[in-house]
Amino acid sequence: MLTNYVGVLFLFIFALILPALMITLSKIIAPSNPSAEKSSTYECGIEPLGDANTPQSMHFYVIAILFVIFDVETLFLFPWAISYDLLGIFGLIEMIIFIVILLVGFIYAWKKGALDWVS
Amino acid sequence: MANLLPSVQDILLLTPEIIILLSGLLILLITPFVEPKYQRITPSLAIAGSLLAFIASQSLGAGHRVILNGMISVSLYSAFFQNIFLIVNFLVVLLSLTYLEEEFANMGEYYAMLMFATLGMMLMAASSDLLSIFLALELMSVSLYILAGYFRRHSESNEAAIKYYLTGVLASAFMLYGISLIYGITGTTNLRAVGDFIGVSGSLARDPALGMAMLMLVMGFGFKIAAVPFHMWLPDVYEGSPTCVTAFMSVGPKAAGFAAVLRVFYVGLGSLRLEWTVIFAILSVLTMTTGNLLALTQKSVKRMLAYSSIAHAGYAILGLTVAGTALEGAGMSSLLFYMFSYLFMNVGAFAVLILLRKKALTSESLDDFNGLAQRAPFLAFLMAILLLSLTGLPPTVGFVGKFYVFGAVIQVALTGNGFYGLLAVIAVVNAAISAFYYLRLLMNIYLKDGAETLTWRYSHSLMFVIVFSALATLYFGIFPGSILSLAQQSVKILL
Repeated sequence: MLTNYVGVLFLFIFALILPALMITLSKIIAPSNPSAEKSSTYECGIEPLGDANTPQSMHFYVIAILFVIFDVETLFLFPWAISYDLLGIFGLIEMIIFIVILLVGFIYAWKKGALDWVS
Repeated sequence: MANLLPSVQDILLLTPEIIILLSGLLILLITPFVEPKYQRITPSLAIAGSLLAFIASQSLGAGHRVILNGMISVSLYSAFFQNIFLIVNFLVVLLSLTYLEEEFANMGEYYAMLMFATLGMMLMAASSDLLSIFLALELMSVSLYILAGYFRRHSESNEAAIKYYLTGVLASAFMLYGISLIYGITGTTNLRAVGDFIGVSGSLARDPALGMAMLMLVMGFGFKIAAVPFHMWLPDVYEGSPTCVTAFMSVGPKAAGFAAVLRVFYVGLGSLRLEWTVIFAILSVLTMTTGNLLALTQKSVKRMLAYSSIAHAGYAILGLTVAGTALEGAGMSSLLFYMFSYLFMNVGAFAVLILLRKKALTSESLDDFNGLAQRAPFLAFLMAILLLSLTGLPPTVGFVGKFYVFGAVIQVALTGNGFYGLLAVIAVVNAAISAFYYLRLLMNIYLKDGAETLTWRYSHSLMFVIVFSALATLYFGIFPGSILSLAQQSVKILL
């Protein structure tokens, strides 16, 4: 039984060796002479304007999560729409339940002011 | 396609789950609309929901039906666990009421998340398919991650949430990997079908890929039930979370984890029982011993209870090891009874910690309870009952729970299995070690003198929970028969 997995073992060894080989080879072969210009952040050729680690508004994340709600909704609506004739009334009720649950979340977010851009 | 359609009777079997889901949704929906002075409407809805669901689950009857294409199996087994979850939910809502109000965090979202976590646990106990187990587990876990970080202004709570989340996601990844391997080997995720497939082709039980899948599942579930060596998240998460959430987490998810573990390993991987009994035996010894030894050195009561909950998981895993032997029925029913007994004593102990606490969110130390018996004799008496039960002394339910788990192990040992004899000895030694730290707290309460360092936060709902837990601990300790026979009937559907 174990002999069936010889291939997996070889793949495992190969997967260990190959990246190690590539990293060490590029360390050895590639020339290394860093300068201040080279090791600074690359911003499309322009001089860097400042630190990228600045505080972001939490609102971006809220909007992203709201997007996920609708994204998932369409993700499930499409296959249902395509096989609508097969699923019939059962599928319709299932989708209504699904959308109502999402809607509750949406009403909650709306009322909490997640859609007001400036707060 | 016609077999996709569930009948009305099938849907009606899910009434408790549907009630919990609807009450959770309703709470979420009205939360932004209620005025702050009517804020108590959301916990009332949560209480009503759990009571209604409890009544509904009592009226379901004893039949065993597999519904929704084999995804869910409604039976006495799922009902037994669902009753545990609904009682925990009910008690924890009562615990949270005044606690959250005093911390200025009494918001409807908390109760909605509590309902969704309970729904996840209920579905987990009823799932008979690896996929539905995983989905239910995620519903439970995601709600709990939010609950753990509910005091978002406190760094401890944030730390608890992020630790719980990262380890929880890792555990889910392991579990999914195991599930995918099992699907790859057997071509199905239904537990009965998996069990039949492995059982029919005898050589498959020696397949290394299947062994790998089993190990992955042990790791995934090990994280959820906090078995050593997968326990390292637990003390920090339990200490940092709001105390009411800790009370919930220490009972609910653990019982749900055991409900799923029993199904997955006994029904799905029954042909590998020789292997997994050994694994679980080692895990149980490690879990009991580590939990108890680390609890000995704790200064904070909350952290001590966290480590002691690791130790209790270890005793429960003993029931799992017996489930893999010829005395499988005794092992499984003792595990079910242990989960039930653990519910009251643990929730009650955490309720005492909510009633008597420090002004800041820092943890109460053992010395803070010095001389409690002189200041509050009644509360000290109730705490004494709960601590005796946690130790496992008669006439409390903790004694009966330990008695049946250890008894099952000793019965296996008497059939000539020396390995189980060793297990029984280790378990009894561990119970003796645990007596030291529980009784030390009891000694502080009764024999030492001390000034008042804790603030009293008396409320009727809190006192109700403590009295209820202590009374239930005593009642089921003296009359365990009804629950025990219920547990024995429940596991029959797995046999």
